[in-house]
Amino acid sequence: MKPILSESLRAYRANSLMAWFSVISAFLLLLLFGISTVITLGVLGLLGQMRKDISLEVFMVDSVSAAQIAHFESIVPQLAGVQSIKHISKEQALEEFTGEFPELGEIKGLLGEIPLPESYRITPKDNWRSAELMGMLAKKLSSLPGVEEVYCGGELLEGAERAYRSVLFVTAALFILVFMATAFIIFQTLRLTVTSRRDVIEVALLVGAPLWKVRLPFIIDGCLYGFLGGGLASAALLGFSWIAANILGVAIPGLGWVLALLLASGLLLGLLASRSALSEVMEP
Amino acid sequence: MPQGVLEFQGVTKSYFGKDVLISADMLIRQGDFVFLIGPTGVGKTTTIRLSYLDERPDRGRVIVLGHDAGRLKRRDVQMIRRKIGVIFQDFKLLTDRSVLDNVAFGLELTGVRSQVARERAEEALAEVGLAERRNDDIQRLSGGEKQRVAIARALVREPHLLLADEPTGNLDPDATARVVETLRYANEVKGTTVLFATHNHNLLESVPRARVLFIEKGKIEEVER
Repeated sequence: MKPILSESLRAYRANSLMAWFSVISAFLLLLLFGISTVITLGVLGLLGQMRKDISLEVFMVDSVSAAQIAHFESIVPQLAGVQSIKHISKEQALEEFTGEFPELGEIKGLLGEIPLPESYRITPKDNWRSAELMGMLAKKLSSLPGVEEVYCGGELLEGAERAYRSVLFVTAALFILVFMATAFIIFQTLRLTVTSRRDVIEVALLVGAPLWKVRLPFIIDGCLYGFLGGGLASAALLGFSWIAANILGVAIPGLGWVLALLLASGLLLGLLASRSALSEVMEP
Repeated sequence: MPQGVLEFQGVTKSYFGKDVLISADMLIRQGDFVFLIGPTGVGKTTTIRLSYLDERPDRGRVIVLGHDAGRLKRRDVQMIRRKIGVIFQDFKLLTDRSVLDNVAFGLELTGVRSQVARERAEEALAEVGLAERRNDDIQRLSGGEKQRVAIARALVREPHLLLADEPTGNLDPDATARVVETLRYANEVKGTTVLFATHNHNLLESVPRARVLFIEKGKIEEVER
């Protein structure tokens, strides 16, 4: 192993400036990708929370009859996508309302009656918690007798889903861009290194060195550049997460996975770039 | 009858449509010292490159140490090259390391422990008369000394076949004589088979028992001495 590591060091020395340029480029590009991944995970977490909390509010007409209520309560639990149904009486609605807006606590006294309608809170099944399916359910509910209005968080959910799709698209595009750009930069560096060490490769092949021993020093260098870039990006992201947690009070979700992804991406990029650079010189 | 170490059977090799070797035959047996003579550009280097498996023939068979070159995989080529030593006119030494490191390099890369490789490299340098220059930088050596380092690098691996492509092409007469003497010694004392490509007819007298092959118009012919 000693001669291989020694060759690896010589290869690095032959192009140390370019090597650091590669590491810094890999660091910046992977950091960009890391930040983008964190944002995607954040939006995904937010979307998940929204989906978990979402329910449909069904407001009945003021003149709703007991028969209509009985019909509603019997038919709704059987509708596709409905997990549970909860009746909110006028009194409960007032309680919730004044809980949210304490300054309007005297409303009943002022009006002499509770101005809020009877309502139901419908919780959808887990696989129905999307803007499209919630919209379909809301449409079905609003067609039932006695129903005045159905409030569905679908629009909000749709906005969040749209935002998630956009962020995911940007992250995926960034991933491809970062992958290609980093691989290209490391590839160019190693190509220069391999070219400048062509004499060593030529002699090594001439004396019958096993091919893996000829390739390994350059592959070690490539992997090291990528891994260092990924490591620096991970360290920077860790720093950001500390600031976010201790100063802004925001926890970054899935940070461990993102750090592992950055390190693995750096390593993989270095490996691919060095293999490509070597194939130019070593393939017959 | 000694065994064939290197054999060309009807070998044809062309570059950019120009035939360099045309159905050429050659047989080199174990223990031979063979001069391959011919003017510049007739195919001596091509013959050497085919012999160390750097090229493959367009037609015909090249059999090196019993292996048909046309059927070898890349990793097998490397295995066979461990038994072949090659020296060139331009030495192909690594200028960023010492004389000893250059000679030990090949051994270390083929799995010999570093300490053992260095001991063997010192012995090989002593055989070519360069023991005292072992720690010098390659750039401080004369052309003749560089060529003897290249020979030491080839011989240290105790090759079955030593190929020399115009090894004296850049050397003065004294250095040339010393290089030829070193190769003759390797052949006569150590039994290394040598194929020595040169355009210099004067060298033939240095090794009276050597066979002579003449290469011309794509053919390789044996010359009676």
